[in-house]
Amino acid sequence: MKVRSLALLFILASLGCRRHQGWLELQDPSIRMPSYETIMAGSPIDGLTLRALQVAAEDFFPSQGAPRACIDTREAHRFYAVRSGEVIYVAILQDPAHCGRAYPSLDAGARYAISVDGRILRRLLAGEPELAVGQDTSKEDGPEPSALDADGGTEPIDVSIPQAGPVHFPGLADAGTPSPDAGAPR
Amino acid sequence: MRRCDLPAHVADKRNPRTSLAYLAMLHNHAGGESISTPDLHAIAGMARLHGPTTTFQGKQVSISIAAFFGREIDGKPECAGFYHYAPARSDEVFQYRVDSGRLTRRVVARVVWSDDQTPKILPIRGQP
Repeated sequence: MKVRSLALLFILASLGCRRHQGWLELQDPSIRMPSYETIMAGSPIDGLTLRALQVAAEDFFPSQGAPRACIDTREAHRFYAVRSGEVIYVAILQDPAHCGRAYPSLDAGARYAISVDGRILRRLLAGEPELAVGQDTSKEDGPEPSALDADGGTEPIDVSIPQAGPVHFPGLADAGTPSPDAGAPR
Repeated sequence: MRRCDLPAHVADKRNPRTSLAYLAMLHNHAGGESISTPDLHAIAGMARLHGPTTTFQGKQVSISIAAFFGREIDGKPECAGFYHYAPARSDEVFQYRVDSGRLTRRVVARVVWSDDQTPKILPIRGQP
């Protein structure tokens, strides 16, 4: 009688454990599952941030429509998120390497402000102007502009390399690929 | 979703391929905003392809990026100026503006590149 009661308790306890539907099918025996600790060495994403990322991604990559070029897919983008109070800010930027490209497009990407309950508060596509909320845009602070010459004409935009003081820019140390003199008379 | 793709190479039969260099990425920011983080990633990518500097008319010059902006006068659009960044020359982002036929220039931001090639824009006035 006692054994039967224990078996009944075990069955009832087992029924109380909820299993994800289809869990038996999602078992590829060739995959050796790492431990929780190993997986948790990656960056954690809390649930609210995950939802904000999903909301932004759904908006930026609508599910309907024609098949996309590789560079327009979710997989070809990087997603960033940071929370400030009740708002989660999301940035979406192209990852051209995913499609074998060496450089990204201009004016591609977006920034979102998502409330913690999953509503889009603002969306700013790359290339769109900021809203100067509460600012007087008729006057600009900061350094005064300097006129480039006195007679109203123009002078060439200077892009020459200064002799003194290296500028930190990726690849500048080795000056990149040697190039011919594109402006030399032929 | 939108994007602006500039070609990385130009096929021009009038000139040998080795005589062509990549000097500037030109595009429009219709709303008037400054050089953006995606723009900086784009110029860094182009610099990886072509090198951050090239020799032009005997001088070493920097690759650069410009974003033109406009305005409306009496219902007609016209060019109001452009933002310009020449990364191998300076960390400054300039705003060039055309006013009454005169061109003025001001520094609106500085760009700092981290070791992992991530740019950070430091505005000098508000958000450029």
